[in-house]
Amino acid sequence: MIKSLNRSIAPPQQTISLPNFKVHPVIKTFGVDTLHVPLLDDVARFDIVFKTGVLEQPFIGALECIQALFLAGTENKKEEDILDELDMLGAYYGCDFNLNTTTFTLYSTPQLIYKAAPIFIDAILNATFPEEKLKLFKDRKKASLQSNLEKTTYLAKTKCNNLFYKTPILKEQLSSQNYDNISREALLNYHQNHLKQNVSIYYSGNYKGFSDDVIGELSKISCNTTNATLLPQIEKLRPNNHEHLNKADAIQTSIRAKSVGLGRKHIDYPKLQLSNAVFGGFFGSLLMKNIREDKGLTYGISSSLSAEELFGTINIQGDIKSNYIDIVFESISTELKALHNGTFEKGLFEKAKNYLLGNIAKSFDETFAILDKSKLVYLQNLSETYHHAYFEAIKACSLHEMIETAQAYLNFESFIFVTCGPET
Amino acid sequence: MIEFETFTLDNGLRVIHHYDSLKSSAVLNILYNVGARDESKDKTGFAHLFEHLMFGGSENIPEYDGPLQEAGGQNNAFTTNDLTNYYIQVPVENIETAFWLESDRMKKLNFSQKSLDVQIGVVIEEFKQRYLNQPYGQAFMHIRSNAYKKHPYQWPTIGKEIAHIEEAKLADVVGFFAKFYVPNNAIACVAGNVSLERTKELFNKWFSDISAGGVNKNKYPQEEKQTQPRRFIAPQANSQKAIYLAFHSCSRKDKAFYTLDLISDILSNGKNSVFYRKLVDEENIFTNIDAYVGEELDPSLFYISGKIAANITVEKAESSLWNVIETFKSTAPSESDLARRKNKLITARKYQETDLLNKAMALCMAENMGNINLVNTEADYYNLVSVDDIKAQSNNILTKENCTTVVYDKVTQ
Repeated sequence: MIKSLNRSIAPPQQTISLPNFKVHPVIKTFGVDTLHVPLLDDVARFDIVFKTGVLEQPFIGALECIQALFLAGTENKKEEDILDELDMLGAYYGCDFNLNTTTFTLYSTPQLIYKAAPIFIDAILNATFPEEKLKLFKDRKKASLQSNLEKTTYLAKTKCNNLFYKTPILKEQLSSQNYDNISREALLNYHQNHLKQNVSIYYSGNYKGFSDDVIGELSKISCNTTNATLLPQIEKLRPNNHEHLNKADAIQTSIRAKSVGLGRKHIDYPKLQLSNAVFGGFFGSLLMKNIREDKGLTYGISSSLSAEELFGTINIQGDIKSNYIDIVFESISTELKALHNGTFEKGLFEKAKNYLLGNIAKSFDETFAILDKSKLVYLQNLSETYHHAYFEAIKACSLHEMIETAQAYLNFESFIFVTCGPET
Repeated sequence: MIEFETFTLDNGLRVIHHYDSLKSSAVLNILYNVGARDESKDKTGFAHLFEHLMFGGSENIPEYDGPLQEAGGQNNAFTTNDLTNYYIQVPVENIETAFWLESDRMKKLNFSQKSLDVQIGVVIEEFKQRYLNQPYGQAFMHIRSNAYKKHPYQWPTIGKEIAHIEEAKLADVVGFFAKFYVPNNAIACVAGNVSLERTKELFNKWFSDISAGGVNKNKYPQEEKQTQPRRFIAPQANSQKAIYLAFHSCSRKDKAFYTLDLISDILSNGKNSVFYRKLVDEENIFTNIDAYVGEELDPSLFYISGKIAANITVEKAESSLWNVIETFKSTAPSESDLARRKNKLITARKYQETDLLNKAMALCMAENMGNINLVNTEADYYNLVSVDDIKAQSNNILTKENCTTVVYDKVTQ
């Protein structure tokens, strides 16, 4: 036992550094843009990415249909056969999309993934979207919508997006009519003629079993990567930037807010990450301290950045005690002023910075970190040194620069606020 | 394969060490053997409320989160019916900060009325957010209160009612800490690029002067065998109709758990599962349906829950569901169906073993179950499950007299 231990003194802390790593290049393999990262763990992942996303959907819900039905069958194989074969190979799978890309992911072991990949690729490329499966999907979405319309979180989020975006395809659904209008023909046309373009593949695992036989079909897909990245259009801000949705039977009030942020390529993006962290991006932030830890009015309220190559948003989200909306609004406004004036707790800036740096460093411990970070560089046209530069920019950001960035991009008047709950 | 070493401090703190030289961060995970089952009937939700209070500062460190954030670390905690688990993940060079923080709050928490008042407010908002302001949010409260009549699993970790949280007193907080937050009622794990020698040095430095206390004996009133079906109707104005079935099953520590876990996968995992194919795809009775097994340390529940299609009555949905259950019980799955499920489980376990925090928590959980080697042997137990086991367990568990049914039906406006 060490009796002289002084527990009031913190152990010395060292500067946080980025682990050594190198972005892997994309090279042509079997005629396809390919990125491969060897891996020491006994797991493997295979991504197929089409460089087209929500902004190029021909109708609302198109990618949701693709996501739900991409393994629903081909001319030669039924859904249950595809799923049984993938299960036998211990495979997991999924589809995800954002504004400009659609990704199909296959997970398995390094020994089996090269056997699962051809089944997966065939199912995606030759999907027929059977009418009865599409009907089931639509019924499920309509039923789910019915439940969602009871949720203050869903109503506030949807309304906020719809007030924020001008691009029609980004208006979210509040009616089952949108699902009823989806036809199999339109879905097939989208899949055949629009989705399957500008393909690239990303795989990670220590087995080199991929060959022309495995991924050859993908090489037949046209590639025209010179397409400009599309950007969403934003509605003009109105003088009254707060809308309340009345839900008399709600127990809490959900608050959602959105304003224009920055794309990942913007020089101020790392500094905005830091400003956002101080404002509402981590547990010790101004929003959490004021509204949760000092006033006990919420389980959680936060702000976050969403960023693509050239476009980004700043989002505020929380569920709050219903009779205290005015106090919460006042608190948000007060904390933004404190952020602009630098009148916040001494030490918060360094805490937020170290939290972010620690978080970035920790992200390199994730199994597929190098794959994901290399992929981001390729898909968002970033420099090979992007991740290092991002880390260093946050590290080098001064208090003054952080405040200037907050003044430029984080303003109460720039947000669209939507609340949903009982009238107060 | 997760490699580990163990040792115990003189005060009874059990320590697990897992070395992973490839990670730049390190984890300190501490599991306390106390959960919602240790609460009294009229003070439910207290273990979880107490978890919140653990972040209010300790005797020598007025603010818990700040120093960790300065060290580039993150932390969180969760409470279950059986245990409370706290974790820190921090750049490995700053791991000692985690020892400093965790040991000081184990030694003496800073009790304050203000912190209690604020956290009561926060937890009440959590209660509303997760349970009251959501369609079907109280389903598991109804299930627990109907399925359990004696065992404290009859209430959820958030508590039975908001009033119990509102009425929490500072004296209760002090007593709870003294009773359960002692080193010999805890298990700690360090995972990452920290040597065993350094780990021992840090535990000796920071934890060895904390006094031992009483150990939670984990004795609870045991549930009598359910012999009649139980039913609860939960009216719901607008949302989709839904049905929940809960069957008394086994402890997480029981070998039968692996069979039940596989049964739940065969019944509902994916579009090629028994329930999906028959009840969603073929008959369009449900829009989605799930089965899952509870993982509590005392005898738990096996759950089935489904959202009913718009034009189908609750009665029709329920009888169709039972028809599929009875067919499943009488015709066991094929060998290949079972093999597919096992293969998927093996992949899933390999993924879990790639994450440092997952490994640290899994080691503590296995030790808390009484056999740390389970982290490496459970895959074998899954592999040993046979088609006959599936048939026997499904016939044993999935019976009407062993079932509590909760139904969400539409009320007439």
